Amino acid sequence: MSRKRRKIDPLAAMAAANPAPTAELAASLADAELERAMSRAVALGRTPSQPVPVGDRAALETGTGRGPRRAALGLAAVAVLAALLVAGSWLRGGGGTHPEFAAAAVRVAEANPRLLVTAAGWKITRADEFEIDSGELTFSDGSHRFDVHWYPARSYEQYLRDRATVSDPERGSLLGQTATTVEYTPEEYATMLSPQGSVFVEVRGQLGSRAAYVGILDSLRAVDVDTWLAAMPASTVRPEARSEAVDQLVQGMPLPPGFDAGALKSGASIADESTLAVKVGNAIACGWVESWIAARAAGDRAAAERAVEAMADSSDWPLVRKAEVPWFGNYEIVARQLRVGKLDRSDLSYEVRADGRTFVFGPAWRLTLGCEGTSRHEVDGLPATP
Amino acid sequence: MLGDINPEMPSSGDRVRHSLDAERRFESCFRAHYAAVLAFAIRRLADRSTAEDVAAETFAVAWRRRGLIPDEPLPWLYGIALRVAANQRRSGERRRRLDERLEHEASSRASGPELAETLHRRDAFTRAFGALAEPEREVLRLVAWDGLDTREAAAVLGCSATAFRVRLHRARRRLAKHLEAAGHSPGESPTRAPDPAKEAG
Repeated sequence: MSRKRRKIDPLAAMAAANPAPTAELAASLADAELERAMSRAVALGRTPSQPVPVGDRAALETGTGRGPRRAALGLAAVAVLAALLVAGSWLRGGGGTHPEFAAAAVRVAEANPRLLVTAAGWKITRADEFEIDSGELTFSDGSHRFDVHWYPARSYEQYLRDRATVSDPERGSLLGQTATTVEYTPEEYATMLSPQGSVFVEVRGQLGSRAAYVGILDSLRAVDVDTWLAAMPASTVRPEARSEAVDQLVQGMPLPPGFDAGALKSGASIADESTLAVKVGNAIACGWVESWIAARAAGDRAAAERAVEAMADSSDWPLVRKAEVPWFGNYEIVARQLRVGKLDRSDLSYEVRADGRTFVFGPAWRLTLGCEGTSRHEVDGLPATP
Repeated sequence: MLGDINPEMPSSGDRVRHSLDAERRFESCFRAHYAAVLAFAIRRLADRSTAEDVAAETFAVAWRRRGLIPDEPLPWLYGIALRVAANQRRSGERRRRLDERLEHEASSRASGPELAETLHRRDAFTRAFGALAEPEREVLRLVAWDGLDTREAAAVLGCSATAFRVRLHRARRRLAKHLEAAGHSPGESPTRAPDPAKEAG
């Protein structure tokens, strides 16, 4: 009598060899470990550059494979458009006497590439902060977004190398500059313009199609200072109003020992009011944590306790209650760490593969709170992560 | 002045609500799926600390894109993690340690009289699985280890569900052939493998 041979089930063999079943791992994760991991992920999300797989930054972000593709954006068409646009320098011909804007705002505006999307229905929806050699604006028509970034000209070559890993770059011209376009997905594209003066521009849009993206490139205009400043959102804080705005934000706040608001007032930049609130709130939170570290080192229990209490009340700080910026939720993460005496001081380092260099941005708590020196504008020469 | 440009923006209340929703969505996504992403990384890397790095970087991307987290985030997160892990895994040393770990994990689940048979199956499985090309291994991991159906696994790899089914069918057939050649006996499997034929796709 022959016995029928059992057939091998390859998937059952696979399942039997699973080195890490999710359910087992989930059961072994302590709450504190989960909190720490979340704090770390948020801190990483705030850092200037991701250690992305070379050649696939877009796939990293979208979760989809890049696949073989050739960026054929039709930049010949864009080159033709360039002839219709304001040729040459955006720095040239500021135009107008701009009587309604203070000198400080005008200085920033004059130095910036004043590009606006002029397609019907589009407006600036975000103008977080910009300085003379860096900044970004977000335009939206309600359902799509288009970002205009500008960075120091010295970083241009590094950005070029970084973006060349996204897709095969296609070169053309736009606004009188050399334009390099890459395709993140068939719905999303980015274009870098060669440096002009001390800055270069990168635009990026997820508009659903190549044609829609080209349409918005087509509508980009370099405008004069008055037009550019007038297009800013109503919530923009101009340099001349910054000092007073900082005073208002600090009012009623528990200030850490040695806190000095002077540095926050002196920035020659144009900022959104919520961005300014974040800067002030972060400076105060960072000051409290620094005082906690110093108090612990000196054995000053009373001073350490004051810092713990101040951070524990962060959700009730007038600035936090008034501005309601989601970022302030990170204060609670660090407040919990102080309460249990376990501040996350681990360093977070990244290898920037374009140059094979490693940058250390830690300790983690400073990144979590966004302390001075941890924002991308403050770390020299790193490609920003959009 | 450009007539088409409206300098007004949505009210700050609208923006804050939108941002708060996105932040809550991220936190909820993190708490629900961190363990799955970490396990996903461990299954592809040599050690826990490297896998934690991959999970952290994956959720860092999710944090930056928190306004775009899909309703079913796991395939999206796996897609990100797969590419981060692929970068980590390029090192040959890490790959060697992964193979060692796979062997250790498989043997640590057996004891007593079952041990000899389990070790035999483990060796046969390691040889058979190692004989596949990496893309074939990944297709099998997504289904058998990560528990995805064909539609979700296709989303992770960025291909169509139909294409994924074809790749899975080929990979299963090739693994079965190599298992047979390696002398693998069917045995009892401690966990039930999903049957992609019954999955939605």
